Amino acid sequence: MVDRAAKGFRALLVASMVVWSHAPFAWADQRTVRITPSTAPAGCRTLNNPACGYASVEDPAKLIVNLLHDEVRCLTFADPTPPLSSVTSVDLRFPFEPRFTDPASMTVHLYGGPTWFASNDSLIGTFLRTGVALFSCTPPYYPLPEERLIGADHPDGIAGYVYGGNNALVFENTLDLEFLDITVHYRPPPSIDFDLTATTDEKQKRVLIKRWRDENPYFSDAQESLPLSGPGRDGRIRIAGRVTDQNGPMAQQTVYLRLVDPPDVALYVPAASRLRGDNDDGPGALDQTTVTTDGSGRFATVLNVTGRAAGDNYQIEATTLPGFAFRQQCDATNNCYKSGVLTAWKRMYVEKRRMLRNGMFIAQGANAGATSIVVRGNRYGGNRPHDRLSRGDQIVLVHAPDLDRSNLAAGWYMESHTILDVTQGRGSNEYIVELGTRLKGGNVSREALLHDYGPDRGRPDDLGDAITGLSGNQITASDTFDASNDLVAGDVFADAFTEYIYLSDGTTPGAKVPVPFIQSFDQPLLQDLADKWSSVVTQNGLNRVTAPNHQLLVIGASNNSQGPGTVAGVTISDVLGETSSYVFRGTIEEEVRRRGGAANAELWAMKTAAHELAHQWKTNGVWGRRDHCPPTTTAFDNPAVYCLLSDADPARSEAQRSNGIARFHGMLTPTGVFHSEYLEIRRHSDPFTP
Amino acid sequence: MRGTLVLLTISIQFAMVSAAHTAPPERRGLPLVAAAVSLPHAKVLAGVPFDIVVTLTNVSSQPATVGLVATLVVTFSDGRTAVLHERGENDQWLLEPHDEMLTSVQLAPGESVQKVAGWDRGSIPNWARYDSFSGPGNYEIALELSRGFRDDEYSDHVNYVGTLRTSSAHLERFVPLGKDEVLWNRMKETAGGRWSDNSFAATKVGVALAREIVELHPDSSYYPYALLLYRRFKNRDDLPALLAAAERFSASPSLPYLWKAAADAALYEAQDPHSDDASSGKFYDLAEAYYQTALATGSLGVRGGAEKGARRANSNREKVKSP
Repeated sequence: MVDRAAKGFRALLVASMVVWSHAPFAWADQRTVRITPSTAPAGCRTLNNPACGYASVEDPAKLIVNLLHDEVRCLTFADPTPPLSSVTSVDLRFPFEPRFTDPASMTVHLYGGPTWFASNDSLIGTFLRTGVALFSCTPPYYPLPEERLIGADHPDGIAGYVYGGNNALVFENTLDLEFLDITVHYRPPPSIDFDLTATTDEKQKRVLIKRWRDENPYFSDAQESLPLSGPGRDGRIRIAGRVTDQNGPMAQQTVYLRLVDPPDVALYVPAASRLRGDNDDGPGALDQTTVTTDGSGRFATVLNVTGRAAGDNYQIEATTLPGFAFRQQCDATNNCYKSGVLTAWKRMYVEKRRMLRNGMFIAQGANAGATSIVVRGNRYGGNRPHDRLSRGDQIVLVHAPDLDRSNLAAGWYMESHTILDVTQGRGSNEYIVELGTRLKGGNVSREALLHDYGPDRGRPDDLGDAITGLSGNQITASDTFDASNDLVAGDVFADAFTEYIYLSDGTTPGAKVPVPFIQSFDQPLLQDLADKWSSVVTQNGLNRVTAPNHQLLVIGASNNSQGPGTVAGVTISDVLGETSSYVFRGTIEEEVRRRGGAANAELWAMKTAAHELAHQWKTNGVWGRRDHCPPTTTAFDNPAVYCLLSDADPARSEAQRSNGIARFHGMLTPTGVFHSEYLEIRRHSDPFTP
Repeated sequence: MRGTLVLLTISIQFAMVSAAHTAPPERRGLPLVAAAVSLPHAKVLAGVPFDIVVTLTNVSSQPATVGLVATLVVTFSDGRTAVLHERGENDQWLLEPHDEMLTSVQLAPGESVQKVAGWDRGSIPNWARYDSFSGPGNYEIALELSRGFRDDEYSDHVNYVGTLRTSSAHLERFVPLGKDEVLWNRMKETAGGRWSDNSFAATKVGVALAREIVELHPDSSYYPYALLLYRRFKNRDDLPALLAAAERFSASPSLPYLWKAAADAALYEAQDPHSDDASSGKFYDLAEAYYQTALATGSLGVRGGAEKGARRANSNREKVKSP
């Protein structure tokens, strides 16, 4: 025990944290508390006499505190270590005034707790106070010697050290200190490292609400790796990590987990609304909130995210402290560790079909083996406005299953033929087209159909298989309308945490069989045409059903419209329970031609595709403008760009039809409610159905 | 001599005036084509689709081309006239019948044709999405006719008359008292006061109400419309209801569409690839009979489709009989 009665000391106080000392163990951590005058407890300090009267030799400009030697509270410090640490030594550093002429050994003890009479003191160390006070009361002042005391090691932890509370140092004798750095060396608590961290690739932290199709994997390996059985993978992601301490992985360590809803990161959300706990569909859930590490120190559970709200985000906090019993916010100083932020995503598929640039429907059924077909009309139309069916023409017949899918097994197909002859049916607008070629010498080589063709059973008068006149010997891209996928698959929907994927032409049934040429205002007819050609539309009784989270897109010719405001596309709105989008590439090309190339047809068609597919989400009902926002509405992040769904206006949205930019708005409605297409898409029910 | 000159002058002037009055319209700066709208039923229930017939007559001495892309023009009882076409909107309609590729028709001098905007197979003209003329009241209905996209390239037609506005016809929308009035009030209410003529087919609330009418209100004047519109495709299961409705609502403007729908359902069944010849033959017979009944109503709204259907039924039945 130290002779406390002999002790008296003065010091300059208060606390700041600096890193300074050595680390006794390579894995150990250290934290330093500095005691200086400014925050010393009242009564623990005495101002130095500037005239150098009492004892101190300090620079008069310095504040000197005269610490009463018998008040332990004056050298009390709060435990700076994270919970579950183990303090193994305490180093000291202090400039002091050696005003005694005789060298003396001085021991420092630590007392657990701030009371003088605590019995659980531990040795910190001993140092030799040497030297003669060479101080002066006039400049230049004598520099104070600095003592560095390397504390004694306590491999099992300093006995009596109070974790999470106050400890006190007691010097064996009086000493004037300018300040005191107390560097506490400790074995850190177990460290928890999540597999998905703040620096993990962003896609690995996406949680797909539902995958819908097997051919495209989940974004994240942590979702893809979940077992298919049981609750499966949709809307779930493995949350895993490892617990280590100074000795490596900690087996059988209990880890406590909890979910946090971090603020939204989307910039179109008003800053004041980006808050903790702002998820549209709640905080999510963990399969377990208490897990135990395996022999490798690893733990795992599963995060279950929203079933519909894309953009809802999640973060997992973990600790080895039961009940998260730390004092402050979650960070490593509290033995609390965070995963990276995980975000829920939707996935949408687009089945894009390309329309032929000319042609007509087949009027009567013709079975495989037949050498003639009957078609409605004899004008090719489209890109061959002046041509009529003629001998020697190269044609292609295209077929899709009937609307009722009664012949689905035969699938989609097409075949090429040469016209041998054309004759008009009696009393009708139907034409009989014989297939084959006329050989030299007047002989005829007839061509037989390889498959069945005919009108659709459900609406035989205006829908069915069709023919087209080719520009060459076989069908090529120039025989169909198309539009780039780039804008739809780019940022505009991704910013709503919704991934758009176009079904692959290589694997989607019928994708290479073009849609018949048609120009029509008739929404039910256009819907039926899209349904008939789509591979993801099925029959349910007398109703047709598009696979959930699939949107139909036809790149077609025109709806025939004339007059103000070119109709470059349409999304079916008047057929209950179904929808599809048409991009009228034919109209667009014609408009570009009429304007002398003042616009870019490819960019225009691409933007129209994004516009029309956005309509399928029905995001703008609030404005009463047939799913458009007001024509003056600009993008949330660019006042020079009009919103993708802003109402038609020749000076605004129509002037930007081919600028290649697709952005939505974020603004207040007249009633003061914030509105954005991004949020409408995010909050739309999943599965997406029209 | 002076008297003779005066007489000659008067005669020449008379002849000139007479000639001016008898000259063809094109020489008088008048439209080459007269376009008149008529309504087969001038009194129609509020909130349901209706037929508009256009009679086009070439009153000139040369061929003339008229567009068949129609825009609805409504004059309301307060004298206000609205052209129901919004910029960039798919709210126009192509009159039937028309050539497969063309959106215009060429008329020989003196020739007159009739075209129609009907609502066969639930394909209701796009202007029916606007609710402004759907409620009870009096309206004057006209059309603006033009030709559509690239028609000029496809067409060999000459003397296109440009955009032409038809004469107007009076339409009265009404709601019978009693149950129909109750239903109409519900229609308005479910649509937030914005019920339109296509609501039975195009809106969730409309279809739901149509189903209810079909199930619970078979005597309502709205019943045949609900039956026809709440589901576009019909099969054999729908035949009894369609035929019964045709009997009960013989005075309804919907009558031709009931017969046409019955015929379409029968034709659909006849073409069932899993049917035997006897069954197919029976349904072909029914289909042709129903198409003929629909044609017998004189409705232009179903004529084109019914004629094609009848031909198809007849021709296919022959194939069944003689394999």
